Amino acid sequence: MIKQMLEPLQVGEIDMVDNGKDAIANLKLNTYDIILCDYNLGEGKNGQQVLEEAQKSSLIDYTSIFVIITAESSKEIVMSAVESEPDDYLAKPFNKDLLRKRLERIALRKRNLAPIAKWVKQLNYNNAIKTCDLLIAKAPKNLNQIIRIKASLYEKIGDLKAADKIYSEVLSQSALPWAQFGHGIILFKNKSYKEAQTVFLALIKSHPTYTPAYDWIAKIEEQQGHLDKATEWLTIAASIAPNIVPRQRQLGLVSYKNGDLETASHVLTRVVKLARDSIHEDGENEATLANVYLDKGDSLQALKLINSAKKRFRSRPESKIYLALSENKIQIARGNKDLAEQALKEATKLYNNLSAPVPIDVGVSLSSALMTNGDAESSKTILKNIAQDNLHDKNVLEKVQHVFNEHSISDEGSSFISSISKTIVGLNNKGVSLAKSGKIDDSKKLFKTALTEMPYNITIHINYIQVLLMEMKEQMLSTSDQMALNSSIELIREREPNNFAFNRLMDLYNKQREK
Amino acid sequence: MSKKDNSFSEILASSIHDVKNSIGVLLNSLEMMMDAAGDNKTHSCPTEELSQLEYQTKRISNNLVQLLAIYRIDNENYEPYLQQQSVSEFVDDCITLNAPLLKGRSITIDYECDDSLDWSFDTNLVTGIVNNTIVNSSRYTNGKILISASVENGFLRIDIDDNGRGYPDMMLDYGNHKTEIDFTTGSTGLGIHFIDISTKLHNNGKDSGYMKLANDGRLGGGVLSIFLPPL
Repeated sequence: MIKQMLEPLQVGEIDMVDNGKDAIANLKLNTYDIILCDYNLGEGKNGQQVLEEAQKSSLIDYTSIFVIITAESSKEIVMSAVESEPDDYLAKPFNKDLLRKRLERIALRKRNLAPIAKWVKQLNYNNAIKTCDLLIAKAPKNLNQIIRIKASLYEKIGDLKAADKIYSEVLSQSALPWAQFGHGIILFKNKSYKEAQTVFLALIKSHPTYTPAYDWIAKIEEQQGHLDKATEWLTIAASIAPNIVPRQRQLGLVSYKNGDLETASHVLTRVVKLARDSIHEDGENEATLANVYLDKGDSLQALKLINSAKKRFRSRPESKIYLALSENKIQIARGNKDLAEQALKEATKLYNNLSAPVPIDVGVSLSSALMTNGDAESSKTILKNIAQDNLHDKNVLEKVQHVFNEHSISDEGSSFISSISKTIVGLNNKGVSLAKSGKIDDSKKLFKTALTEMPYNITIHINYIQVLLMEMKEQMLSTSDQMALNSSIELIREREPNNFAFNRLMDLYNKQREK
Repeated sequence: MSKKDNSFSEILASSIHDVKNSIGVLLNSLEMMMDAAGDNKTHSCPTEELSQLEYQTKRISNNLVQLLAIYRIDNENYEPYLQQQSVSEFVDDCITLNAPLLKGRSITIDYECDDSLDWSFDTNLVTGIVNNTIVNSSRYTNGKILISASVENGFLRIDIDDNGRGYPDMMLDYGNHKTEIDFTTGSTGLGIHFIDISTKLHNNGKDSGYMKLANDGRLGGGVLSIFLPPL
């Protein structure tokens, strides 16, 4: 029927699929200007899940038009779908004229975003921001949208100050919810929790259905150890827009942390069901739920869940690691030492076979289990690799420290981390001072060697790039140096495209090349 | 209500939902036929009859939408989904939805609304109200309909005027709460009942929405006014 409606609109090419899986497959293969997606796609993904996956996997950009079409008018479904921010949400019945009008309206609104999208696609955020400025100067109809994009780009490159300046300027004119929200998040990131909470509370007072604000209030409460309150806020948000998996999962995890096993198992059961076929389906949900069952004293139910999940995730090694770790716990509780050991071995084997870069959370979970099972040495090897590669990321270091805390050896954890940190800081300082005193070759060699041991350490890569750029000022780089430069740039672009220092260097690099 | 009644009303609601979707498809096919008939003068199907067919189908569709909404309000604690939106775009959408019907009946429809006016309301419910009124007016008007939207005493006011002979007294009494709607006398009360409860559902804790029916409209005919409070 929709295709019939589109015919008189003289749309170019139309591809049609009748399920979410094929929709995603097509989105990966082609670039579409317009995606019309029914909410109800039968078995498998629904329209909201297709949208979420398309966003997460960058299958659509600022210029794509994604419209969810639906015959559903249930508030829960609408609220949840709208939270994923489709460009429009079209309720049946409608006719071809209305479809046309809506599409034209969105196209008009987005037409001038193409140049921004182009830079973002190339991960050149600085130029994307410059393009925003050019557009803003023209004061177009979608001015606010562009200002909002500009602020989000500053957040991407890690310049929170510039982003917050934009939000504050907007807020001095009018209390637009997205600006309040953005301002609140930056306050949170700057650890001004009280102020952040005030902002979020004001936001939901004027916009009670702005559900993401509730999540942040809950996060602040959790941060301060108020788990009951965190649960309450998440429960309210989940009652307004229930079909948001990360929110439900958070509710389950906070309840679990709070010792409320009943709620945790209830909510996590829902999460497992809701995540099915979506991008949020990961095996970790099942593993956590099994752990809750175990803590409730029902190891049999826990084991059953793990066994069925192992089948479902048989081709996903990361998921299987989580499941094996849960199985390890369960078998210990059931007194099956051999089976427990076997599960842990399986997890370690899977982990060692993962292709680099290995996801941090998987490694942290595994090392925690290893430590619990008495294999501190293997545990620390994994933790060392993680800490080395992510020394610049406080959150990761906190996770590493947490493994030690869990096993009541937090002092050992802090000295473990600080000794790693000392070594690497010393190494970086040495390399930089070598370069500054003109010993570029020695400096290059030092960084190159360091990278073989910690191939993902961002700071070393950045310093390495800096040294190479220093050399480039004087002379053309050798082929091997140029290749090393490119691969370092690519690595950071992929892993930390928003790194502030890196983006500064890239500006310098681009200027140098233009000369 | 007994368990048995409950399940019957659920079956009824889901059937209405199903039939409503079928009618939607039917309507679209009809509009395509009307397009084709309009383009092709050597038509085999007279446009007047197609237009009548479309009018009746629209009535059925609107009635089903209203029935379903009323069911949800009564049985599922339907909470309105208040969405901030451009009022002029909203009105434009409603007109677009009914354009084929009005064209078939040679009715001109205009709207007056400030482009910068935004308001929060339940799109589904208010679309239902406006659609219902346009389709109703299309039967009684003498060729003109006017939709105007503005802010009055802090409320969003939407008027739908026509230049017909106006609402009969019975409808005015229903609409202005002078008498209770008597559903046994015929089907005329459904639309009014729907508009009445839909406007009332727009409630900000202090004020709630309301409707007014009158015959002294700007085009000389009947006028339905709805008033929605600020969020």
